[in-house]
Amino acid sequence: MLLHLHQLTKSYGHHTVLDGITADLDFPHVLALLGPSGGGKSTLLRLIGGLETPEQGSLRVDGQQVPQDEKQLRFYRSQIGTVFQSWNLFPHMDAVSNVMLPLTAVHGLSPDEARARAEELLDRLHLNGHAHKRPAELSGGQRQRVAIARAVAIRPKLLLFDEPTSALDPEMTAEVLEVIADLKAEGRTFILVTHAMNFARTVADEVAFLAAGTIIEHDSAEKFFARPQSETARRFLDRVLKY
Amino acid sequence: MTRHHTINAVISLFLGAALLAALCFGVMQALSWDWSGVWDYRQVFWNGWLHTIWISAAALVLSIALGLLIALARRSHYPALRWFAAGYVEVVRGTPLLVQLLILFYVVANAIGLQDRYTAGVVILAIFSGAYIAEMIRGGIESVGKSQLESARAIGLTRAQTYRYVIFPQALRNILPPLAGQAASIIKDSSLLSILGIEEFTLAAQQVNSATYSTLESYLPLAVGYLVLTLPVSLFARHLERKYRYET
Repeated sequence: MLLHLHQLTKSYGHHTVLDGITADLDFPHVLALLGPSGGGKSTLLRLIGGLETPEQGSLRVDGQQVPQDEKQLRFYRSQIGTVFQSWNLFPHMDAVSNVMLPLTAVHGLSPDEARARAEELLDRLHLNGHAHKRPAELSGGQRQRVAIARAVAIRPKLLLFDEPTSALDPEMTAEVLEVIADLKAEGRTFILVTHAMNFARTVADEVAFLAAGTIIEHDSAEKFFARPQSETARRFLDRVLKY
Repeated sequence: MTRHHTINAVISLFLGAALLAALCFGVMQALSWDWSGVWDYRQVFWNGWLHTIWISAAALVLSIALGLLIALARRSHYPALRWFAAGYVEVVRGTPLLVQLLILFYVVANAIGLQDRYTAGVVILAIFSGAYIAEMIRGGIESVGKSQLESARAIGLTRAQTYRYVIFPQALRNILPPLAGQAASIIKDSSLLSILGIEEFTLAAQQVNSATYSTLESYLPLAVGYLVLTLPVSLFARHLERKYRYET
């Protein structure tokens, strides 16, 4: 998977979040976006997911230009599976209906096909027995796994995880990270924004380190964690890995 | 908890009814009422009461449709639609129903050649109530969180699909309780249609009064007749409020 970023700029009001980033990020399966809060990781992920459009510059994902026009963007987004920090499940639908909705409404599957696919996925994510519960009846970890099932069910070419474990306690974090590691083992391609450094180290092929609205450095995960090049990254890693 | 509520409601209802009965009995004793004249006109009351029911029901259905359109227009991409909808809501909510009845019936309906006073009455009542319902629907829609809309965008739903699958089902729980209350308001407000000569419940009571000269005997059934309609609706609204509050 190749991400081509050219002069990518995004700001909210007077606050520049991404400051003209130019980079080619090439990774076999898993890219981790790391860095301090407010550095632009989540915004970059949202641009890649087509949830926001940049003010300037362009972004190519696997050779395809991310469109600007809303209609094309909608199709583009439907090809990408996004998992949010606070799962964002639909509270009025049970787990299996949450997974089925994009399949029937967007991807044209029949209800029977969609149900079969959704139930199989929920089973695989150890959610058998929870298919007919609404989000309010599930634990945080279970909700996040339903959200992952919803994102995976559409067979996306790319999955995006935006701090998928930040709202979870350690035990639930572990069960969600396990599922994400399984996705890598299945050979899926995804981009991950996370504060779980040790997890990023084990699961990521490539790391891009963002701070102050720009990519300070990017390298293979192995090299980045062993020998960060920039002073900013070195200090960041020292601080977050200290305890 | 629910049983406790039910028992409480039954007790209060019983006490209320007993109080009302005692009051009526006392007043009747004092005034020595005469129901014979009014009893002869019971068919007039009955017809008027039935008219009030169907006029209110028709106005409710029409005003829900109108309210929905106006609420959607207020969220439209087109500024002209938004302004029109906002203007409509402000004008209707800022003027008395009586004034709207007079202007819309004697000026507008007249000008466009709408002859049937029942149709005109229902439409005017719906125009009035639609402005309030539009605000309820708008509030319900806006109560659906931003993260829900983002989720809908992320999976690639169109705007229409987002309303259908995500916004409306969630907004409904916030809209239904005040909507049931509005239904009770429509029933009460429909009494003003009597000034247009529409033979609903209030006009019926006025006619009986002028025929029998027994004022209190004519108007007491009027109050009871409205209560019989609005009380169940209000209790239903209360029930919906409780149900949705506990469920979240």
